[in-house]
Amino acid sequence: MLGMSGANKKKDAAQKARLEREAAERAAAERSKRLKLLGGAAAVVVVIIAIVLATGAFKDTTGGAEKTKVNGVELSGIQETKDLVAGLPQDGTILGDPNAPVTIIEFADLKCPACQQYEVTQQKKNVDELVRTKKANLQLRLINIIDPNMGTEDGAKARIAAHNLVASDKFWPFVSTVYYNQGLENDTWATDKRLKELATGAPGVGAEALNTRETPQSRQLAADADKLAASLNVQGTPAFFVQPRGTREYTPVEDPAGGMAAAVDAAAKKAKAPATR
Amino acid sequence: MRDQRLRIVSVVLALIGLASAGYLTYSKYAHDGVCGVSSGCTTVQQSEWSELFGIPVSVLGILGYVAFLGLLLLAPQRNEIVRLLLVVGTGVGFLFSMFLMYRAYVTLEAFCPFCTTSAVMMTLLAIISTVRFVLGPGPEGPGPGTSALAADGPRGATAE
Repeated sequence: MLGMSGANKKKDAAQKARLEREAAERAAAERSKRLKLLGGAAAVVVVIIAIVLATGAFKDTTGGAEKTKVNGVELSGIQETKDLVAGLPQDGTILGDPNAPVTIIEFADLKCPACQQYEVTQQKKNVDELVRTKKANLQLRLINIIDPNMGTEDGAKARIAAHNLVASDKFWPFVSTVYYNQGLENDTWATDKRLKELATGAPGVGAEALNTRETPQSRQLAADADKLAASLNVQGTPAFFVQPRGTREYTPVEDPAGGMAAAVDAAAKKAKAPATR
Repeated sequence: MRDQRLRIVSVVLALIGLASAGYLTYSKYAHDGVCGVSSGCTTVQQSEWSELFGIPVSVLGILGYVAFLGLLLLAPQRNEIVRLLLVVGTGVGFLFSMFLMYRAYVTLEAFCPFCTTSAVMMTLLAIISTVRFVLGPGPEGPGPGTSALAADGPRGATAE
């Protein structure tokens, strides 16, 4: 009996050892299979990300604007700027009929990406629907809101350059060209060199018209814009107001993308008769 | 049991990520288009890296977290394909988040707490999903205390 029991114990131990060995082998094989699958998964992940980044499918901040080479420098939005201002009178910072019943006042910063987005995606529509039809004119008041937030100084320089073009009525094409070619808000991109390139490409402007030094006129225009922005409690850009002709009434437009036409229509009802010359 | 705990942790992480992506989507539509009153998140959301194929990346984040929650809560957890899909999905989310973090912190120099929260959640989800896949679903059976070896034992013996 004892011999039988000893033999059984030995057999059981051998069987247990064999089962454990087989289980360990199965576990090792399983782990190896999983690691291979994991390697495959990692490769798939890398390929997916590489394809996404390589296709460059991120937002086109110029709204798909045409690119043109001007003196060897590639600039965006030259044609779009021409289309924006084509056939419209320009009077300093005002685009369109200066006697229109309503003035749309836009506060903007040349370094503000939200202003840039508005300029390239919405401005043409507003100009075509409201300015070309003489329901309103559009006045751009440049304020400097990004520089203090980002610790840069080139926004002020770009504003001076734009304001120095007001007297020659070259303000609008320059501003539009700057927006289509705007750099990052935290970068110092509005250098003398870059602004000269942009002035060269801006339709009807030219490098010789550019002046980035502060002048009495640029100082006055900046001060006027800042003062009006402060009195209207403008906290961010772009900010829009409509002003009926002959009044000092400024009504904010909360939804400039969808509600500008209604705001202009409402303001037109309060417009006074045009001044006779 | 360990797999079940990791799954619960993953669900919690995905819910936190979903909340972050949801807030970013809300803020994009509520505050998009204004400079000067913005936070780092607005700066990030106005940048060229804020949209992919015309879809805001925060919306892609929401879709991703919802998909992960679906896989974690509704799909059979012992299914290897499900576990592998989680590895691939969270892996793509992790790498893409790292790219966006690079753009936010290095290129734009903007600190966006909600973007960062989402990226951290995606990173942890990717790590946990990988660990869960490598460890396997564990033993099927009565519950705690049943080892993979013991569960495999009888089957091995029967095969003999």
